[in-house]
Amino acid sequence: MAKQITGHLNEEQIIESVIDKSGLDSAVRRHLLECSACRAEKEALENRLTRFGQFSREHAPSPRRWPRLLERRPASTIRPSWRIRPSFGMGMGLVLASFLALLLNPHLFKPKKDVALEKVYQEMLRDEQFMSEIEKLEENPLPRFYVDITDFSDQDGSDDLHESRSPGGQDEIIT
Amino acid sequence: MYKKALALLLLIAFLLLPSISEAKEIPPGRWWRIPYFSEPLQITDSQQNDLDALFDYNRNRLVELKKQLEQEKRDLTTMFEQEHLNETATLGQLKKLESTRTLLAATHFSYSLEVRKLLGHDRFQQLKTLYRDWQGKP
Repeated sequence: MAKQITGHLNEEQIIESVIDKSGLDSAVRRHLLECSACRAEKEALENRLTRFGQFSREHAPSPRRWPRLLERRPASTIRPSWRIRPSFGMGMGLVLASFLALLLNPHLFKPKKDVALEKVYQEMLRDEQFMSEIEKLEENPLPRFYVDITDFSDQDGSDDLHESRSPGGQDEIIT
Repeated sequence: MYKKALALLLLIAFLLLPSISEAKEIPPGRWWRIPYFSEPLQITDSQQNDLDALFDYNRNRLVELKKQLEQEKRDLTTMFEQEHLNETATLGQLKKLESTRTLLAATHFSYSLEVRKLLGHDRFQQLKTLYRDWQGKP
């Protein structure tokens, strides 16, 4: 026995009658033929959808180019590795930075023996300078004023000028 | 009296002068670590260590004496420039300065002496020749 619909169609049944007419239940179809109110509601929905479709077509931007799927690259294609993995690019950067650091520090390339020899040469230079200072002091350590006033060729023939100035050998303050 | 003492000190220093000039014929620094010197002179590892110890001791002592001498020189200048000049103290300071200078020269000379003893006559002469012909760092 066919199902009877009491009252009007609900919103779901109205929508179903618009989008899936072929799959519509016979009771709903019969009700739509008999009930003008539900039929009017169904037509109103159809009209709204038609207007919306027209509006969308009118206002949608025209595509500049048709979308297409990306081509699958062959496996042999060479691409920079850092474009594939950023971490690999960073690693490469570190390796390059280390290489530059090695390049800027020539001692790192030299064998240990050469480095030791270089230190000996540097010490030689420092020692040469130090010993020339020592030799200067050996030659004349006296302050300039003493060099100027000292004269060992006693012009007056006195061999002990100091004693003649300080009789009794006591310390004497000369003002 | 002071002048006599001073003259004696100067005489000692004067006698040491040829020895000082002898010292200049020895290369500076640790020359025994450079193959140019060590190979023809056949300096052994043990001798290299002995020379290292001698060098370290001698240069440290020279540094000390240099400091001492410079201080004594400053002290003498200060004494001399005082308004109330103490003649005896000033001459005493001069004597002290000369003594330190003599000690400095003797310490310098003792280094050459020890190197001469360690190398022996022939090798010492060879060292002087090598040093004269040395073009410096290659």
